[in-house]
Amino acid sequence: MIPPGTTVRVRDDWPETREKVHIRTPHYLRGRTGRVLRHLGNFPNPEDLAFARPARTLPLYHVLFDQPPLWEEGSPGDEVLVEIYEPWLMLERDGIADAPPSRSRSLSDRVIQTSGAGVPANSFAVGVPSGQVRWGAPGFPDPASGHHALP
Amino acid sequence: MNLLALEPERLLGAVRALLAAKGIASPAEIAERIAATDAASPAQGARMVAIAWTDPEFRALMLADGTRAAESLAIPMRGAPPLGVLENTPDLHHLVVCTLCSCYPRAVLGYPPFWYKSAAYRARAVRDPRGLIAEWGTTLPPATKIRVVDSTADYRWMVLPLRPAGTENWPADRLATLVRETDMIGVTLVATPGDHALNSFASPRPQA
Repeated sequence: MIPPGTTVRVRDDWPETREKVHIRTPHYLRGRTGRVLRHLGNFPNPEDLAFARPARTLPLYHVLFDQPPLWEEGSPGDEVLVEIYEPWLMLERDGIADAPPSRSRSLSDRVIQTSGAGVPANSFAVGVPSGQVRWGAPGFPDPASGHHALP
Repeated sequence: MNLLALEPERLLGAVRALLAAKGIASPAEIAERIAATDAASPAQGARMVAIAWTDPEFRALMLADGTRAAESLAIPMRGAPPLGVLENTPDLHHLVVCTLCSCYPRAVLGYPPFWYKSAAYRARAVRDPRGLIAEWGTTLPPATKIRVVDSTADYRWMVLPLRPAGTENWPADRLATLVRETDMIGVTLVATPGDHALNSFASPRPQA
């Protein structure tokens, strides 16, 4: 279990570019650093339930992010609070300290401009640059393989 | 050929009979679920808010376990995802959105308003929350921070708004008449009595 107050980083991973998926981790948080507010309980993994596959029960956390850095706009002090499943979270010992800045690409690389009105695409967006390298410690387990990042 | 379009009543009857025959859902259970869905409306959430304003014990329960608090008022929660309640304070204002789809605490607020599911609301709530609520006529003191709650997974979230000034001696049933669905989503603040003209989006339609 990740204790409240722990700094975590959301995996900068884009499974939707590799296969058909159902993901509950918003794209705008991939690679971003936040802080665990509390453990919300354990739930069957919706990424499996959506395809009627056997679903592992996973810890779900409320994770708090500073809002202005997400879009490079907004009011200092404002926050975004999001439910995130444990396999999507990385701890410091998994390589946060050595990671490059999360703001490594422009927003326009991350989303599809659906209407030209600046509306980000939904979670099934595929606007991910090619050649993307997932940061983190070498040999870090791939979420697609089902290995847990945490004990 | 579309069976659903041609003979919907017969199809529904067949599905109901199969559900009963296979022991999946009895007619009574289906009737119960229909009644619960019909009864769900913002009035349920408003009742919870008003009681929380007047009963510290209920308030504590509601903040700790929204589902149990709702059930204690005979609001049907069976089968609904857990309900989380977000307490607004003078320093912290909550705004609820579901950027991925349309997760909404239907058991206590009913069907979501049409704009809640719009791409514009979902995108702007996380990107420009102050600009968004300003279009509802909502301005927060600069010292009040906004916490946008993106409802992404297995919880459903509602806001416990601040009780307006000038309602000190009001009973809960009268207080409940002040609370709108927009207050419990967080795009508006509960208006002070007599001040509704300044913040009067009782029917949820934001300014253009």
